Amino acid sequence: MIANGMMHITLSLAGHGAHPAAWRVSSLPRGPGLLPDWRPMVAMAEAAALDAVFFGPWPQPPGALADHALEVLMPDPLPIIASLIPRSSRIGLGGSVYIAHTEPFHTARAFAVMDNLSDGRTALLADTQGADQQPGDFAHAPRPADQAYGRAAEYLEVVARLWESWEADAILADKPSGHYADGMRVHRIDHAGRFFTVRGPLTAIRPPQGRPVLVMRDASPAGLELAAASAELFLARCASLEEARECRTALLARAAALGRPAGALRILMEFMPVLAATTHAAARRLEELDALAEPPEDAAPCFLGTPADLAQRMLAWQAAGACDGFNLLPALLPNDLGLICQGVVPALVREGRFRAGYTGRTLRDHLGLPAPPPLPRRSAA
Amino acid sequence: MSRMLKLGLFIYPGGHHVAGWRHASTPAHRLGGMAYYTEVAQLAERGRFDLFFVGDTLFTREKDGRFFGRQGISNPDPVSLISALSAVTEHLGLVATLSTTYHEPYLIAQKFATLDHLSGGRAGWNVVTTWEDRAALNFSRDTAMAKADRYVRGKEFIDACRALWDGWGQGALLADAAAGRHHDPALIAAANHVSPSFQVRGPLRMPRPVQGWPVLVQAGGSPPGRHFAAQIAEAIFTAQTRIEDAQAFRASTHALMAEYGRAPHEVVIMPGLSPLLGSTEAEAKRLEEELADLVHPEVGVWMLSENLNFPLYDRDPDDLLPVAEIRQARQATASVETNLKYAEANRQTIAQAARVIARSRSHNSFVGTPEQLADMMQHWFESGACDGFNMMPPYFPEQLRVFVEHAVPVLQRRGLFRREYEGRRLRENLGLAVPPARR
Repeated sequence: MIANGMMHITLSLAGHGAHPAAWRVSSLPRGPGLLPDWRPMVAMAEAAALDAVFFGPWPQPPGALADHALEVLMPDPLPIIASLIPRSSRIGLGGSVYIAHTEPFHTARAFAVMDNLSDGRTALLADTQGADQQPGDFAHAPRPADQAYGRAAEYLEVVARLWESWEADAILADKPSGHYADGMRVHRIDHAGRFFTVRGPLTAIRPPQGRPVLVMRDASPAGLELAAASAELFLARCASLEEARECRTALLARAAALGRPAGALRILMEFMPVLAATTHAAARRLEELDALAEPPEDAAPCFLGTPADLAQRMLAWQAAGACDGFNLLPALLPNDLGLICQGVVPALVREGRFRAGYTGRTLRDHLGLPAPPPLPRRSAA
Repeated sequence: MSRMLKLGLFIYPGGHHVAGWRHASTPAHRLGGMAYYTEVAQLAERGRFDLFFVGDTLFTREKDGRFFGRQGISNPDPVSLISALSAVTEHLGLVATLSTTYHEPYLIAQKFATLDHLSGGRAGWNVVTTWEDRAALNFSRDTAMAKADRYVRGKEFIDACRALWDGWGQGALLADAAAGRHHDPALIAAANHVSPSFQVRGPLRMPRPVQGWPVLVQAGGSPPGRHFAAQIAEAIFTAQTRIEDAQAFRASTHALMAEYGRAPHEVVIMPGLSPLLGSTEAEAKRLEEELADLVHPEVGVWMLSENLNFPLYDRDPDDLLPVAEIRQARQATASVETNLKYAEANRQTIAQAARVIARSRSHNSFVGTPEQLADMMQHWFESGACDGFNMMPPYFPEQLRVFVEHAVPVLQRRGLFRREYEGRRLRENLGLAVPPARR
């Protein structure tokens, strides 16, 4: 079904582009402060009806600041996506959170509020790895893997329970009777687990999506296990179609074994496109960028070629069951994003494999992802 | 230039009057949405307000163990809301409340640095330590930290954040594409903050905020809270209902600040003020009655019980408020003590005290015309009771609109309030200096 269906396209934006030399050549202006102004980038992505744009995680080696040539800025993704809510109307907005050093109550509330402010367009990228690269900045040293992922799984369960602590029809706003909410439809969660004790209910009304979309990208064995259990989008990096197909098959099989219904988990392959009108010109562009700075070893696989080439690659991979879509990391902003939106996307639309315009309102609508079934309630109240 | 009033707008969904959401003009169904907050923030900016202030709520208010459905919704997540509003305003300062008890300094310093850059230097942080035990239950604890410990942690939290913000010198971000120099490592240093509460190495991966630091706001009224404010606060939000008390509070705050080597011009003191305005005094009084009639009897006593953290449900509403019993039952916060003293002095019954608290959440309230309000504000301002006010309209957006269209022009004509913003940064508008960079 999925192999012949529509594909999903999301973006990850970082600095002036995903290539470490992007800041040297980018024409992206600054916003009111010292951060790049991503607002026109999001407008461009929305005009192309992309599913969502993600900010973070932006992993950096601990010593990165010592290298004066690296674009080292690491802002908090949440204020960024919140600031984009009134500047967009349809595209999904995702931001990453360090699971290891935050409280589930704060995360649940921030996303519930942003989901309300955006009429259901948010996604939570659960970052289970990034904080490990910042030893010394937090109260807890990195935890051993079993504890870290056990805690992450419980954290995400608490977040989901808090989102569901207000029923969908709890708000009455009934002026004549004086009942703003129906107290019988607002519930404590009374969670008492190995890592967290959280009473609830959340101090924010239910997100329009029920639950904002949960995204992961941690490809360690424990990270994949967590994703199989609860991720709705998984962002993967694979060097070849075969590897991608194996990765997807294994992850979906594991999700099925854990009792998740088909279609509950979508897998997007990541590429860093470097595009130009000819393959030769694209190669020259990459050479120029690489001459300024070499991408690190763990960077997303680079795709080099014309927009038509990239469209062909995407069609072929999706048709072969290697993925449900793609998370693209434009090498240089705005250049590669412009070529994606004006070259790649129209080619996919012509093939009938990508939407010509939004048909739904929420990010779940775009992704065709129903909200997961509600967790059973534990407490009487 | 003569001294000018500073104005904050304290948002509360539905309004600061407990029945504000029931007023005919309030868009009760839209209180969680972007359009509502955009309308209110843009109205405040049209009125040349210095700042938009968002409080924080980390637990739901209940009755008999359940969410009490006769109250409106609580504040949205403050940082998310003001981040969104940064995109639909240009001059308005944006102040978010955030607790030092349930966060870690590194991520909060990063959060406010991000916000200050996104907004071009308009961020403020109302620093709270969260006293309520009920909040603790949402953060894997049984009870709140002891008051003294909370403020020790709060001060260490701020010290760590300042060390992180100061880690980048002015101009450390070079962005010199031709030379390939993105930043100057010589102008960036680790925070290396070590205190009993935290060890934070740093540096942040964010340049120093546009304003140096976000404007630090504080609102605690207890002795440890006031010492904390005297050390760190650049704006103080306070509940003062009598001008003499407000004068004394301001004078003693300045005296306390001197103990920490700070001068009076380094702080802006803004008592809360909830005005209910009508085109005539009689109309304003009618509105007051109208709102009072919208308070369900159950609500006033509930609100009073919540505020005092003492259940009064089984009592006769016409009994005197049992002040001694309440004092005995638990250690009162400064604002509760203020209410108790007031109730004692005025021999208030439970019903009377409930009516007062429903009106303005124990802040100063005013009923009258815009001219009369301007008189009152001028009197407080010129007699040294305050540097401005944090305005708490009883319902939104209608009462804010009346204030902006009818009271602000009066203040402007009298030369008490700006006609245009001094600048785009919150510090410029509040008249606060940028903290000097350390490198």
